[in-house]
Amino acid sequence: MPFAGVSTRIFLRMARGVCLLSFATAGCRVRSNEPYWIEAHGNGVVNHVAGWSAGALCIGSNQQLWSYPGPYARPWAEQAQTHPLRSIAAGSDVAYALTVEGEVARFEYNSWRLYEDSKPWSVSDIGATDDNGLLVITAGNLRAFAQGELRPLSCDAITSVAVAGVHGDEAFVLDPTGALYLNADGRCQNIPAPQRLRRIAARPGRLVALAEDGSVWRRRSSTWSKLPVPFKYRTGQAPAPCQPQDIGASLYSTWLVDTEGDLFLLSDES
Amino acid sequence: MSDIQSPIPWEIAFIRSWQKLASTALAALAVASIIWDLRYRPFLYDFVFAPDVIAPGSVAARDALFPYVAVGAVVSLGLGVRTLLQARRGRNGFLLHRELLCTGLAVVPLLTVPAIEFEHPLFTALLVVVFSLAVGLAASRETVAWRRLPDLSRPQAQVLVALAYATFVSVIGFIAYWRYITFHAAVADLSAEVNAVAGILRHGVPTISVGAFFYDGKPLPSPYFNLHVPLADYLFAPFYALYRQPSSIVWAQVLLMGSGTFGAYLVGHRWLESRSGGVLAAWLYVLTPNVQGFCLHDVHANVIAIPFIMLAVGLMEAGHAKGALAFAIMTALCREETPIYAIGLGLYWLFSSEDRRRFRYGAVVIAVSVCFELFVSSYLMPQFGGHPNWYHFNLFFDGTHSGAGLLEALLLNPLGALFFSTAQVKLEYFAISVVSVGGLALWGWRAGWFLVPAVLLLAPAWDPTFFSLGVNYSAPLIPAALLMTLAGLQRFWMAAPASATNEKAQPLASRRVAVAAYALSCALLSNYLYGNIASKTYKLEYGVSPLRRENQRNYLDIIGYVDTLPPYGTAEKLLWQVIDRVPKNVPILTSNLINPQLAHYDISFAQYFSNGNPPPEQRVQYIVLDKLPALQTPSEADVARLRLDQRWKIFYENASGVIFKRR
Repeated sequence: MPFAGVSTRIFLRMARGVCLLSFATAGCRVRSNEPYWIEAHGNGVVNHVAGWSAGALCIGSNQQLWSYPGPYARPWAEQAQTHPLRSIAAGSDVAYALTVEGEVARFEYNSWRLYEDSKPWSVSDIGATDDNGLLVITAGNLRAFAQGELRPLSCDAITSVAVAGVHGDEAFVLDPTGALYLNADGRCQNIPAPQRLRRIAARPGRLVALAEDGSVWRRRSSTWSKLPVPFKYRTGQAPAPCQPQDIGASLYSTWLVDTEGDLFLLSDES
Repeated sequence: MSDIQSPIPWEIAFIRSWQKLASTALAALAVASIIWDLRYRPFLYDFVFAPDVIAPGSVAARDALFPYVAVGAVVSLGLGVRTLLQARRGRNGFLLHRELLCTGLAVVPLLTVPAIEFEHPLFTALLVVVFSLAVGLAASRETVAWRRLPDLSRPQAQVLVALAYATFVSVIGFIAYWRYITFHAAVADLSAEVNAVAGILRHGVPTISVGAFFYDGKPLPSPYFNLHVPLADYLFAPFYALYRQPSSIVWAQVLLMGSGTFGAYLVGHRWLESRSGGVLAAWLYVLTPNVQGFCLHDVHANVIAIPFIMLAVGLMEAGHAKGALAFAIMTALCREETPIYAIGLGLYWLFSSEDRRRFRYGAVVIAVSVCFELFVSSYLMPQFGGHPNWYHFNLFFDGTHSGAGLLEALLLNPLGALFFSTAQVKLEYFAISVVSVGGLALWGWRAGWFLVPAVLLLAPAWDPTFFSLGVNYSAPLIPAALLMTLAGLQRFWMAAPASATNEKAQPLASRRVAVAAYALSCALLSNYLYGNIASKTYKLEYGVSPLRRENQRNYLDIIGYVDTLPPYGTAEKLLWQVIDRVPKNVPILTSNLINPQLAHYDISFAQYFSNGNPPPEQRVQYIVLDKLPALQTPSEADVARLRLDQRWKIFYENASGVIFKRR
């Protein structure tokens, strides 16, 4: 029986078209398989980040240590306070920080221990290895801290400005030009990088780096891949790209802080 | 001889055409505004919602509006001159609907602005209604010449209703399933319900192990009845018996929720006295954002009451009283609070018409509901060490947390209860739920009995989850919103009796087109804003942060919604390989992220949820942990610890997960 002059056959065809269109519209809007950055919950404002086994450790706007995620339903948890912090590095479950006075402090079981004699070291940056070892850059030289002493490593000859520990003595360093070096197996090897680098973070098998131009890179199996730009979702606005400032890594996660102090997690490490 | 008509005086021409002139100018301004909106989209939100704040960067954009307005003014001036000349020649009775439709279109760009629907629900509701009124008016005027509205044939109606159901099941089912396979489902409550359904097949009653902290020191799995009485889970059990994976329960819920489409058709067919009306009602049900959302907030037994109520009312309207009674009783049995839903239905049958048979059926439904509620709350739950939970309510007359205290507060302090119901979150939820069909529910008081459950279960509640779209606690309002809407629709649809004379039938046809256009416009816009079928966003995650995997936009820190569905990539595929390798029928402990996918095991604990005594780790043979980057409960520390623990060895591992086996 026709409806408004339309035969049942055409009617069925139209119905099928509507059906397919609705499924296609719903099915098309699936994100591509590329990794993407997910902004952390809770509007924390932080300056530096280090990844560890329990998530991210960050220096907040009050220059104290915050962790993400916090306990149930609390995105952020403030950790034990100490002197104002300048920089942070973390192993799997131990963290180290550089205070604004230039002292190095160790954070474990939610308490701080200052290395009282570290001030004369003139530390400019710190790093931590997966096995909780501490690496420092003193007067531009890479050193490992063990048994209360600083020990030179193979990249001692390089003037270093940033360090990212991997495991044992294995570590990546950046020189003042942004060139990347790997300290491993008693050698210091220059690693070609796609850009001049500014910040680095590493874990066994993985290096993530923030380039001078603000791009973010990941190196696995000696291969570099460019990571996407993080986007922020704000009320009334289309997703807006943001400018990375710092980067951190743990075994399964990569973290990023942007210039407005927001924290992001990379969706996929596979 | 004076055949040549003398021109109408200018003054009279102005008086006759001023509405047309004004609406033309408005339409021109609206078109200019729409073009500007599309060109300067980033400024639109602040332009409307912070009109008093002129950001320095927005001045140039604001100034750019003037050229568009100038062009619009010139165009409207030209059209105005033509209108005036027509009026001078004696034309009268100008139609305004096209200009008003153009004016109404001005709200559309604003509706596409991210997040406005949840940030400003009341204002959004107003925009939807204004635009849909313009659509309805235009539809009415354009079809004014229609002599009669042909009804659909039976097969055509069947096809359209089947299409509505298929759309609901395939689109919402797809999203619900996608949510599940990409690990966006939550322990609370998919794990709990999957646990319970699997328990039905194993033990005959719903059992639970994932909520171990409720059963300290007791053997597990334990009957669920101390916490909930989810008898609707028995309806999921056959689906699960056919395919023993949690995904079958996810799909089963969608199939059952979608079945309300048929109930809506039967109601619409009867109340709107046409198959077209029935089809309209069926599509309104499918497009209801709340109904869709319930399928994406994991699985819950109480939401199944919604399609059952629709089917009960529909079958009663279609004359299948016994079937209607069966669905009414099934409504009451869904979960411990659904007898209250069924009481609303019983009251409707008692008092909505002078029909003795309905009265008797209504009385039976109320009697069964009251008996079942008393049985559950006074006997069954206490037998298992539980009781109805009053935690979410705080409106009690004298501080006594009981049903009686709640009823006293509502009956003896109605103004207080009314004031308590005007909290912003409640008004917003009301607006979101009612605007989905343009507030027609406000004219549908004939079905107002369905508000009784909402008054009893929502008015006294404080918890914002009770007023969050898609969260199962918010369900009591939905049968009322749906059925009152259809009753309201009936008032406008049936403006004249079906047997009216031909003179009356003509305006009736265009009136029905207008009402249908208005309702569909509201429903489509609501679905676009708050729903999930070809919508602006997908409402994917529920619960407080950071217990979610995504974070794009959120409402009240309860609903997390995203522009695009998350990917099913290598990480997820590898994690499914891990899940598939977990030995069957062994006690397991899993990380929270993957517990819903393994909650059909008789003993299935979630790492940072189950707790209880003895600790879950001591009760299991296998521990299954994911390695996905997590915003919520990172598993890295647990994997590292178990690698070093001599009591455990690795049974299987890949890049996305690891299974530890007790040595």
